[in-house]
Amino acid sequence: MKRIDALKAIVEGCVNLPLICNLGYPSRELYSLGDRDLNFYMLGSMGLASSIGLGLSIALRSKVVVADGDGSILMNLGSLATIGYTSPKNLVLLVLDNASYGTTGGQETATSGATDLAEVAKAAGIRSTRRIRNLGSLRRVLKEALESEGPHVIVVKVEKGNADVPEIELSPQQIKKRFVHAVSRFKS
Amino acid sequence: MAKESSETQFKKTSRATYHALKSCGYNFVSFVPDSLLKDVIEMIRADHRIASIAATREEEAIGIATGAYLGGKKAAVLMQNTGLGNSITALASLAIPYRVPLLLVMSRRGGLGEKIPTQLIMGRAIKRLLNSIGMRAFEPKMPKEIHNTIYQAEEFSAEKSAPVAVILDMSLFGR
Repeated sequence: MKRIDALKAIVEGCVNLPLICNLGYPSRELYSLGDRDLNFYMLGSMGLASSIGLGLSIALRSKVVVADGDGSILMNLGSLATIGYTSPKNLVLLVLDNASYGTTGGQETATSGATDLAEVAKAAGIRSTRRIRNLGSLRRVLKEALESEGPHVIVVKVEKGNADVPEIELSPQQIKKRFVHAVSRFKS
Repeated sequence: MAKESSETQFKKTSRATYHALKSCGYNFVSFVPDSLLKDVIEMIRADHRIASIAATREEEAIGIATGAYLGGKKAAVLMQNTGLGNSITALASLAIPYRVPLLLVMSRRGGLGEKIPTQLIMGRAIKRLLNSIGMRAFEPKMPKEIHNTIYQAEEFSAEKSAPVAVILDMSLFGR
């Protein structure tokens, strides 16, 4: 499965829910699929998607969805321990794992070898962890996760490569302002 | 005798910091544990009106606080000044450009009473590091200034919609 197809299934699966998206091509691909106020596109701070999602999940009563990447979560593995310990019931963390640093030239990550991020998440204390390889199961597992208590970590194995998509034509401040407004109805 | 007064000062500074954060309306705190801020952290942990999360690293704490802010919380981050080194990228490419009004409360090691040589360089560099990424740092000189300084920092942060730092030197804690 291509990452952009996984992102399409994710955004279609979380209609009306906030979605935090990892920086670089993943955010650009998501943007190209149809811009929404509920998309928080990261333009920097690699590694922090899951942390932003964790903080947001404490502040909101709705489910919070994060589309992270393998290279990004590897930069902030401590975050999995913090999520495991904090255990927010409304957090769904998807890791789109293409076993490479896709935005910087496709260099391999540790998940191209023996590292298994679903097992890492499990060992960090996150009980609900899944590993997905096709679109059908992604749709089903995401739906189940959104209907049940989390936190959930879903590792989605995707192909290497980026779609040919444009840059995001929004300033960080625009992204933030409309996102804050859009999620305000979910305040806990 | 000297030890007793240093303990009193430690408690006074800790209480002043906690009460200022509370009366400014901060209702979310992420932090990386620190020996100078330990009482402040304990008071926050015991306060059911302030949600708090212990992070494994300072940049993670900034990410978590940013998320809480996006969801409508008033968020502060507590850390030792050495953690600023771990935070620069998160500040420069998340909190500052997205205009996230976080209050960073940093204890500062590396002063005259410092016994650990590895604390000295960051202790001296902290203000220039903050200034170099365009961040304003507020610094109370005496325990009785803490309350007002935190108020000023909060006001500045809210008005500019920008992260700011409050530096609490180890001397304020009687160390």
